[in-house]
Amino acid sequence: MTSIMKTALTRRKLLQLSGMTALSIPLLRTLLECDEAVAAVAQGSSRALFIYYPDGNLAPLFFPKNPGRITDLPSISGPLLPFKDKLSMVRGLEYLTTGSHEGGAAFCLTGSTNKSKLYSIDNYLGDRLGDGFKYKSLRLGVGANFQSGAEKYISYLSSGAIAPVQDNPRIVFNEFYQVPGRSAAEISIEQQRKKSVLDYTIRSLQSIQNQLGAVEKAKLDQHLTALRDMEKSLFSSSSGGGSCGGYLDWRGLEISEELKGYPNVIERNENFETLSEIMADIMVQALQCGVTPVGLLQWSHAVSPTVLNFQSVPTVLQGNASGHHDLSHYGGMGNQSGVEKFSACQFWFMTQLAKVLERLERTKIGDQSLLDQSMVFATTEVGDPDLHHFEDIGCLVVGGASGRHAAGQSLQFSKRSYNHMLITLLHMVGMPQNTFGDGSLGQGPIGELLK
Amino acid sequence: MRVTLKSIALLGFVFGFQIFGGLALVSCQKGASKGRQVSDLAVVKVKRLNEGQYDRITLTIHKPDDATQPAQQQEFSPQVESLDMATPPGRYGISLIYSLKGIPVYTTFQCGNPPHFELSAGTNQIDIYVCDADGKTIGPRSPVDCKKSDLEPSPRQLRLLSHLQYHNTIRELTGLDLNLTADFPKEVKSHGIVSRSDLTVVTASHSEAFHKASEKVVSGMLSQISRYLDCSDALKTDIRAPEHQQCISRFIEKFASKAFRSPLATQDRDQLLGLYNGMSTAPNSGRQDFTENYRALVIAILNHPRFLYRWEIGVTQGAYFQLNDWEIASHLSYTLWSGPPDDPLIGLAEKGQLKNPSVVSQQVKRMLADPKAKAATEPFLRQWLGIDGVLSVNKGAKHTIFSSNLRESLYQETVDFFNDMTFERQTSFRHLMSAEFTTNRGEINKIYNGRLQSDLIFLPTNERVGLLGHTSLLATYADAEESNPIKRGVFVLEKFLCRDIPPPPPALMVKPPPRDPNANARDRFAQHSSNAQCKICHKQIDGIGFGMEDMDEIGRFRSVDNTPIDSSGMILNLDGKDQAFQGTAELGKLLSQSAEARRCFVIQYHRYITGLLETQRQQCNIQKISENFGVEGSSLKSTLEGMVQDASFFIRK
Repeated sequence: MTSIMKTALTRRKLLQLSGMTALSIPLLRTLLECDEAVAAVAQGSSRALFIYYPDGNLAPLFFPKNPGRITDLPSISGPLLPFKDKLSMVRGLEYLTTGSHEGGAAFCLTGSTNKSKLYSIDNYLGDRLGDGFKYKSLRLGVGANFQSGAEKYISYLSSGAIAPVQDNPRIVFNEFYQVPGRSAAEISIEQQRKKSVLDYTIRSLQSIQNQLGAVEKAKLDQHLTALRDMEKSLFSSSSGGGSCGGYLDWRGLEISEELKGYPNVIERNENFETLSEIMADIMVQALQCGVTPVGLLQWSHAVSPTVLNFQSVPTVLQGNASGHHDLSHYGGMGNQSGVEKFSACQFWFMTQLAKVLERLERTKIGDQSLLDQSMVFATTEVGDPDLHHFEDIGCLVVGGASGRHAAGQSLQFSKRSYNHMLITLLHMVGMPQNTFGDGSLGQGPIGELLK
Repeated sequence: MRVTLKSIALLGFVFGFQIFGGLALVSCQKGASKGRQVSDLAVVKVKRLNEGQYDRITLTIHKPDDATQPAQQQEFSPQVESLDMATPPGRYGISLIYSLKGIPVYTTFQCGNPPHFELSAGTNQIDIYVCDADGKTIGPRSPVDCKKSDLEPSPRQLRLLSHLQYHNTIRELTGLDLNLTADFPKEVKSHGIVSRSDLTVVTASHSEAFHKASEKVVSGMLSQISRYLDCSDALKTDIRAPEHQQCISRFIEKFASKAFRSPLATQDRDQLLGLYNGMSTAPNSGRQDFTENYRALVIAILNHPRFLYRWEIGVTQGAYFQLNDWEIASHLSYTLWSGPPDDPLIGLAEKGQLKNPSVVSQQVKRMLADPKAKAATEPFLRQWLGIDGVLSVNKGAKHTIFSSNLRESLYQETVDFFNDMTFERQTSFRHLMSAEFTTNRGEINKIYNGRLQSDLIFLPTNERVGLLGHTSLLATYADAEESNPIKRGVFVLEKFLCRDIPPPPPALMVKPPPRDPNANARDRFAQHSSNAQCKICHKQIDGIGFGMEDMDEIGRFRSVDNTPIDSSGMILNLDGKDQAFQGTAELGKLLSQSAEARRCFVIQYHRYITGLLETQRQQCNIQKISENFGVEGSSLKSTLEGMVQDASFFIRK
C-alpha cells in the first residue's frame, strides 16, 4: 500500500491509495482528490471518530484479563489485536443512568440523564472544531434509523434535538464528492441561489419569531441554527465545501436516486455488511479530505433488529434468523450456545471496527497515519445485555490523538463513572475540561490515558 | 458519609376507575438532605410526596444486582407519610412499586443518581417525587373532576409537515407526484406517536433535504412551465418591464398563498418579489435569467416556515386562542386527508365561514366521503398499531411462506379492512374487534385457512376475530422463531388499553434462568414471571400474552408448540374486573365489548389529531369525546367525524 501526500496544503493534491487490507477485503482502489480544505486538518489538529455498536457486550470476553500493557485480547475483541499498541481498554466504567437500552442510548454520548439537556460529545466537538468545514460533524449510520424510535437515538444537538444520522451513502456521496461534469460556473450559480434563498428564509424565520414571541421559540431557534449551519457549509472552502473527488467503491450495491419500498435497499438486512464497508470508506475519506473534523459511525441501534447472517459472520451464526437484540438475551454465562452466538455477533462488530481502524492506519497525512492523528472511541448503550445493567460498559479508545493518548493500556476500575471517559476524550482532542454532560456524575479525566 | 437520595416515579393518573398510562422517565427535583449519625445501621427514610391514590406502595432495598434477594422489604399504605427501614451500610438497589387494586401502576426510577445507592450509617433520606413528562414535579393532587373541568386545549404550536403530508401538499400544489421524502431524515416514533410535534424539529439535515426536494419540484415545474404561468411570454421581456413584473406578481400571489395555506401578507409578497428581482445578474438576458430567478423564488416559497409547518397559533379569544379560518381548514384537511385544504375549504376560509360549526360539520361529512379520507387512515394505523412492522420484522428462514409479497398483502389487509369497516360498512368498534371475517388480499388465506367469499375471508370459528386476529399484528409482535407473549402482552396493553408499561427499573435487576429449548414458549417465559419481583409487572403482561399462544410467530393458528398449546389467559382489571379467557378469539371479543378499549381508541385518535401525548387535564376532553362519540354502538366513522370537529381542537392555549 502506498500513500503520497504533498506537503503544500494550498495546492490541489492527488492521493492515490490502493491495497489489500489485512482483513481480506477485496482489492480496493480509492482515488482521492483533496484540496485546500486539507489545510484545516493539517498535522496536529484534532480529529475524532465516534463509533457505536448495539446491545452491550460480554465483559469477560471483551476486556483483557489483566491490567497493564495489552499483550493479548479475548475472543470478542480479538480482531483489534493488530492495534493493541494504539488501543486502551478500561474495564469497570458504568453509566450513572437508568432505563434499560433506551436510557443507555441517550446517555452513552451525552453523559447526562437530563432529557431536556442532552448534548452529545460528537456534536459538542463538532460545534467547537467544525468552523470552516462542510460538516461540523458527519453522522453516518448503517441501519441506524431502521425500526428505530426516538428513545433509541444517541446523537443530540446543542438544542437537545435528536441529531439525524444518515443511512444513505448516496446522499452523502452527492453532497461532498465532486460530481464530474459540473463546471465551476454552474456550482457558483447554485451557491449564489442557495445563498439568496437562505438569506430570505432566515429573514422570514426571524420575522415570524418576532411575531410569535415565546411561542415555539425553541423550535424556531433550532430551525434558524440549521439554516445558519447550511449557510456556513455553503462556503466552507474555496471549492464549495471540503470535497472528496474521485472514486467511491460501491461494492456492487445499486442505490437509486429514489428509494422505493419498505424495507428499501439501504434498510434491507442483506445489505448491512456492504453498507458498513461503504460507510467506513466514506467516513475515513471525509476525515482525510477535511470534509469534517468529527465523525459518528453508528451500526444499527439499541435493541437492534439486525440479523447477523452475512457472509463474513462466524460459523455459529451462519443461517441465523434471530435479530441482534434477541440474541443479546443470551441466557447467562452458563448458557453456552447463547454465549457463543452473542459473542460471535459482537466479534463481527469488532471485526468491522478493525476494518475502519485499518483504513485510518493506512491513510497517511504527512509522515503520520490518520489513526495517529485521530481519537477513535467505540461504545455501546448497555453493559451486560442479558441483565440490562450499565456496568463494565464495552467501550474502548484507539488512535494517537496527535500524541495525547497514552495508548496500549488495559485499566481496571471498580465501578467508576463513565463520564470520566468522556472527559478524557475531550482532553485527547485538546480540550482539557473538567466535566462533560452532567457534572455531578464525575469530574476530571482518567489521567492514566493521557500523555 | 451521608447520602441524599432522590427518586422519581413515572407519572400515572387515576381517572374514574381507569388507569391511564405513564408518560416518561424524566428529571427530578433535589430532595432535602437531613442526615445524622444514629447507629451503625443505614436508616433509610422514605418520604412520600404524592397523594394517596394507590392502595399499596412496596419499598424494597435489595442487593445491587439481584432484586430476588431483598435485604428489606416493606409495604406501606398510602396514608403513611414516611417510614424508616434499617439495613447495614453498603451498596444497594432500591425499588418502589405503586399498586392500585393489586396491579402495579408504576415503579420508581432514580434520576441524576446511580441506579445503586451507597447507604451509609445514619439517616439516608429518600424523597419520592412524581414528575411529569416535562420534568416538572407534581405535588399532591387529586384526580381531576371532569364535571368542573373546562376544555383543556393543546398548546399553540407549529407542526412540521409529516413526510406524507409534505408529499401530498406538493402534489396538490403543483400536480407533480414526486418521490421526494425518501431522503428526508427518518420520522421518529416516540411513545407511540410518529413525529411528535413537540419533539420534531428542523436540523441542518432536514433543511438540506427540504432544499433538495424543492429543487426537484421546481425542475419539474420548469419542464411544463405553462401549467403554472399563463403569461410566460411576458417573462421573456426585461425583468424590469411592467408586464414581466405583473406576471410574476400574479404567480407569487396565487402560488405562495396556496403553498402557505393562508393569505399572503404584503410583506411576504414584497420580499418574494424582491428575491426574484434581486437574483438577476444580467437584466437583459431573458429566458435563462428568468429560469434562475424562478428557481430561487419557488425554492424560497417551499422552504418558508409557512409552507413547512402547520400553523396552530390562533388569535386571542378570552382565555384561549381560537384557530383562524385558515388554520381550521388545515386542521380538517391534514387530519382527514393528510393533505392541504382543497378549493372549497379555501373558499370558505376566505369568506370567514369556518368558525361556524354547521359549516364545519358539512365539510367534515364531505371530506369523509372523499376517497382521500381512506388514504389518510394508513398513517393513523401505522402510528396506532405499528402495522408497518409486518413489512420488515425478522422471520426465520423456515418461514418461506412469509415472502415480501405476502407481507405487503397482510399490511394492505389491515388498512383495507379498517377502511371497509369504517367507511363502507360503517360499523362500530365492537365489530372492528369482533368481525368473523377479514379482507382478502393476495395470498393471505395461506395464513388464515378461511372460507373465501367475494372479497372476504370468513375466519375459522374460535380461532380469531376482528383486528386483533390480523397477522400484521400477530407477526409483528413476535420473535423470528417463536411467539413472544411479552411483546404481545405489552402490545395489547399499550395499544388497545392505553396502559403504558414502564421498562423494568435498573434497581430491579434479576438474573433470568437459562432458557430450556425443549420447553414451549409459555413455560420458557413463565420462568421469569415466577420470580416475585418480576411477577409484579409480568402478571399483567403475561396473562394476555399467554392467552395468545394459539398464534404462532407468523400469525398462524396452532394447537401444538413442542407440547399441546395452553392458551388460557387473563386480563387484569379490564373495565374494573379480572377477566379470564381462552385464546386470541376470546380476547378479541373481550376487547370488542370493553369500554376501556373503546376509550383507548379515542385516545389513540386524539394523539393522532394533536401529534402529542394527552395531558392529564386533557383526559377530561377525552372523556367528554368518548361520551359523545365513542359510546357502545357509535360507528367508527361517526367517532372520527365527531372527534375532528370537537371544540377542543379549535382552541389553543
